[in-house]
Amino acid sequence: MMAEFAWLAETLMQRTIQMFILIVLPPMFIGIIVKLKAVAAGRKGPPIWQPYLDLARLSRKGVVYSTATGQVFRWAPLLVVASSITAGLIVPMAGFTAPIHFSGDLIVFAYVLALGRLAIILASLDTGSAFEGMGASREASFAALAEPTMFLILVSLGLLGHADPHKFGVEWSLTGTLAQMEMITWAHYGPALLPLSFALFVLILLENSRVPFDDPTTHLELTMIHEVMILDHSGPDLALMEYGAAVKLLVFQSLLGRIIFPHHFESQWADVVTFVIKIGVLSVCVTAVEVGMARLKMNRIPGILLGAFILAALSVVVMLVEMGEFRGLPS
Amino acid sequence: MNSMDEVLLHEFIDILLVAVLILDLLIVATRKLKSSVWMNASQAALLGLMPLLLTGGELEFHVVLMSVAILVVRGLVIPFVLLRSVRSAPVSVELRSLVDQATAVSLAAVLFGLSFALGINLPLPAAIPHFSDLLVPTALTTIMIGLLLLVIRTQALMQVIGYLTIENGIFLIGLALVRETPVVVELGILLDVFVGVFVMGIVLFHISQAFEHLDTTELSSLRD
Amino acid sequence: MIIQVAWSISFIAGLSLIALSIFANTALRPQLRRILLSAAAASMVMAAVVSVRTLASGSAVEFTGPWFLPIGSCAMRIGVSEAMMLLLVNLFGGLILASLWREESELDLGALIVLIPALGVCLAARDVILFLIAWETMALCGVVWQRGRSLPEDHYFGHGLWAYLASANLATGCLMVALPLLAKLGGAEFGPAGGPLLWDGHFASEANPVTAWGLVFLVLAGFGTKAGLFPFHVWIRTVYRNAPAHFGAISSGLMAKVSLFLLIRTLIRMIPLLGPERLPWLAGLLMLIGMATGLAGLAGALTSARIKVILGYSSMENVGIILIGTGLAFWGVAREAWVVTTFAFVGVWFHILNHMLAKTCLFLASRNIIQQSSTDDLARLGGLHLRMPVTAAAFGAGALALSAMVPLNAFNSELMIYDGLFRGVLALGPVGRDLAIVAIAVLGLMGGLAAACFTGVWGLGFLGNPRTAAAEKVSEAELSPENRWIAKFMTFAIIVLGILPILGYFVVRRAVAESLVNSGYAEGISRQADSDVRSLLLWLSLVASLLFMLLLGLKRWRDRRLNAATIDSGLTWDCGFGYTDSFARGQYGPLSYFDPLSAYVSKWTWQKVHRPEIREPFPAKMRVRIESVDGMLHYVYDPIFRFVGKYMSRLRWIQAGSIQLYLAMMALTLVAMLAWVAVL
Repeated sequence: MMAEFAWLAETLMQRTIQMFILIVLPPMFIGIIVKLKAVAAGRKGPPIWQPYLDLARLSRKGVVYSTATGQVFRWAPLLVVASSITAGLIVPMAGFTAPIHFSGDLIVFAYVLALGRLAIILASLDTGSAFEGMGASREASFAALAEPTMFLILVSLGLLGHADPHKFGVEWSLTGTLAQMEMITWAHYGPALLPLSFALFVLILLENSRVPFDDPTTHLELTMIHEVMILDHSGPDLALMEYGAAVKLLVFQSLLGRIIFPHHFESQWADVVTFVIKIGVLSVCVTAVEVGMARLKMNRIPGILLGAFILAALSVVVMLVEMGEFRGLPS
Repeated sequence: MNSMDEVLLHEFIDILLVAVLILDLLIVATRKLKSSVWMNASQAALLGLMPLLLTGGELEFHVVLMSVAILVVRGLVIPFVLLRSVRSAPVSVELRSLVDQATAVSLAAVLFGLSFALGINLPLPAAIPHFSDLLVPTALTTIMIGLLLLVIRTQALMQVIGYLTIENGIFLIGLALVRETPVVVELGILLDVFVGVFVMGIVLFHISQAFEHLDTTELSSLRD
Repeated sequence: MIIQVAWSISFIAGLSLIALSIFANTALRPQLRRILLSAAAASMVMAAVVSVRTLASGSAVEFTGPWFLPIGSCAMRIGVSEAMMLLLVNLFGGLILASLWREESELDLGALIVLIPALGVCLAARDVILFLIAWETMALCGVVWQRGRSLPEDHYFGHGLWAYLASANLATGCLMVALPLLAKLGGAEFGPAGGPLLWDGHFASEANPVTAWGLVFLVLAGFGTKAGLFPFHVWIRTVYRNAPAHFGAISSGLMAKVSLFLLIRTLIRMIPLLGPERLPWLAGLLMLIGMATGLAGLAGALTSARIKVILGYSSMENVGIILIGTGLAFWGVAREAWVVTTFAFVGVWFHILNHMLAKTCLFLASRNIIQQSSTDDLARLGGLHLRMPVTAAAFGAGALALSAMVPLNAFNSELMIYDGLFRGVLALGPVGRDLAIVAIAVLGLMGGLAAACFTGVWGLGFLGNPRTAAAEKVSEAELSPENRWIAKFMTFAIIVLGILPILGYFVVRRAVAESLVNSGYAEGISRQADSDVRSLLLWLSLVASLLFMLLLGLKRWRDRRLNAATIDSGLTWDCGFGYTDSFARGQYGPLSYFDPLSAYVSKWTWQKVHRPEIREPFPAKMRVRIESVDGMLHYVYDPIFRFVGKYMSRLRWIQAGSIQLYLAMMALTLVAMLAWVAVL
């Protein structure tokens, strides 16, 4: 009885921490990126809690709805946030199992994220603006080309979850895979995890509209993808859009963070601290790319995505090799 | 040597091979002349570590000698010579290519798939000790990518890079096939490559002096 | 027996309606029309009730009716799978009929009323002759909607009618060879005396390779043409473009699904004929055809600006998904990985259901807008959501469902196929595993492209500002009340099946079990597989309800915020460009929205895309539109048809009508047959 109660309390605690991380922390990491970029450019930059202040300011303001828009435009910001948070509940963060995990949740994860993207695209088409239509067209095209990479990464992760024959029968889920990863997993499956991490990093940059695929700070509408699609949102709607984007970035980063440094500590709090450090380090990586690279020409993006796809495919093949699927062939 | 070390060694070999593959991909995708030279050099340097690893961590003098030689010659001297030879020529830093980047990468994707499909199932003599299932596919991929570079790039320097990439692949397949290659032979090959590249560097230098460009499509009229 | 009565009533009612449209010109016309329609509706309800009863009890209905030809028989059997399809055909056929009955001519209604029982007979027929009669009836009914519509700019076949007839007849030709052969191999006895020719017998042994693969090809071509399988899909563009939108609902929602069902059922029956050695080859072939079909469908959809054509091509994409699932199921059978097979079959049957629902919804909604604005060109629509909210919602639900969005129905069935593929990666052994991985990546790509395609269709057609006056004047009040109700019902059904996919599982469960038994697993759905499927579907419901709860919570938060703040309304921000009047025409249209993807399609696929190119700074006035021709049609079928047209016409002198020539031919035939007998 006592043991069960303790287990329940612990689970509850873990869930609360994950919800806290997922809901409260995301804007901070955006703030970190902005700050780091400013420092790298030799400016002082805003404090890292600036995004919170921005969100608070936006949510106090009124809204302007275009006469062209209808319900789609009104619901889209809500859908963006809801889908990001739902996806975040499927990814295990900070050393815990995810609140939602079931066999097959990898696919649901990918499609829940796609839901938010679809909502933004539709909302931007609803405004009837040519610029927003342009952003929507680009987003839809590049996202479609990135999907195969995403799924191959998921296949590779799923295989990893089944790699150890002693744990055979675990569910095909993100938690099932990531919860059983240890640092030693890198010693066994490092050759597969290396390209996987690269591919996932490229995907993070694309899905979250970062340099080199998109520039979050550009001022020219013709060069935007994500920013141009939320041009017409204002007030709380804009706050929701920005917040949803921040949550999505955190969700992706925590997935990658868990893969590159899968160590569990004895104490939960150590895990939480490591988690924050991991995400911080990944934010530094994202910033490094933004500082070191310019935005790519649009027609070069498919080539890069194809490269990421090859890396993901390589990771699947190497994962199968490391699992010994090809051993025992007549040599 | 206990089993954990063996696992780690094995994984280290595999990681090296995957890195070689990633470099293969990058060398096709890149659009800068200079970075493709250095990518090729780092690929060769990674391969230079392979003989050390394949002996299982026991440091024998001739193996160490060979690794160091490869690192120095392929990793430092050759790229330096190549870049030096084109520095004075008015070569654009952008690569010139018959196909655009997306097509080049998708051709690379096809070659990757082909090499893995063939390489994993390639029957090899049973006498060979089994280092890694990735070795032969990686070697095949590298050779194919080298050939691809030879076909699609039009600058003379990139032809040299293509040739060097093929050489990397051949070196790998040599490692897979012949465990105890006499070190003298290896060093001889290295010397050949070095001399070859040296000669090519000189030739490039002269071509660039004479024609003020290094585009092989335009050199075709020199035949006969 | 009831079902036979029901079908007879329907046939008679439909035929009388057709006759009425052609001959009668009486004052009684409206009354007659109503009576006949009620009779047909009643018979459809009867058929639906019988199929529900069969589905609930799980025992097959068998019966034999009177027959009037020397060969063949009127033997029919409705098992649980057929009952499921019968229910769906009558349900969606009924909905289509209900949305048409006020406006369309007697000819259209009569053809639809004959078509639905013909489809039922196709499903139930055990006898080849009966089946072929029903099949041909169905195909001929489709001709009705191809009449008199031709498009001058469409030089392929020139006419939707020819594309339709050519494909339908080639398909029937294949079936006329394949099905008697199947009947013969299945042990049917037929000699000079005639008699029944049943094709649902069990095959005792493997056939020789030529027969087996020949049969596979004929069956694929025969049933696959109607379903739109690659490479037999070339009719899609012309026919969907020329025919009215409700033909799309009938063709894609009913005919294509029934032929797909028949294809899969026939292939399952043929498993013993192929034998264990050749089964993986068939499975791999199906998966490859599935991927090709899906990608070719999307290539067509992304290079087209007409709603009907895009929807037609998107049906093809979904057929591709279903075929990938079927191939996976067969591979599972070959490797005896029955959980994989179970997941695949659940996905296949469930996706057929979901796609019927979503596609009928989409086509009926697009019929509403075509009726009002008299165009289905995306470049002339826009802004419909404020003017036709119900139709826009129905179209949106269907479009989002088919882009596999999470809380909507088609996602759930796709998830089943995905899950089967993921399981297959471990269970299927070397080649099956590799194909499963490739299929996962391709399905992902297809999902992304379908999402791009449907956001385009819905976003450009329904959202934003109206691009032309025709799109501005539409209004929902002009629609008949049935059409509004049908749109509402279908939207509701799509969402409910999305949130509670377990309901769909209950509908398809018996069909899945039957498919498993027929493919050699006597247990049907194993306990393990059953609980896996159920738990996955329940989790999906959980995720969907979580999404809805989050949405509602966020909505409350925002509403509270907005209560305190000001809500203004104005023009969309113009980024300082100051356009106001020509705003609507400056919106992104289909050409520009699909431009990146159509560029890839024209570069990487076989689809021949005509993309307008601007070469100089100030081009002359040009008409810019997005056009494409299927590569298969352009490079394969067209040359063949041209060749045949050119050279075969030289043989026309044979049929010149000269009696001497005919007598000479008879004499020659006689000599040839005597020679054959003598030599052998």
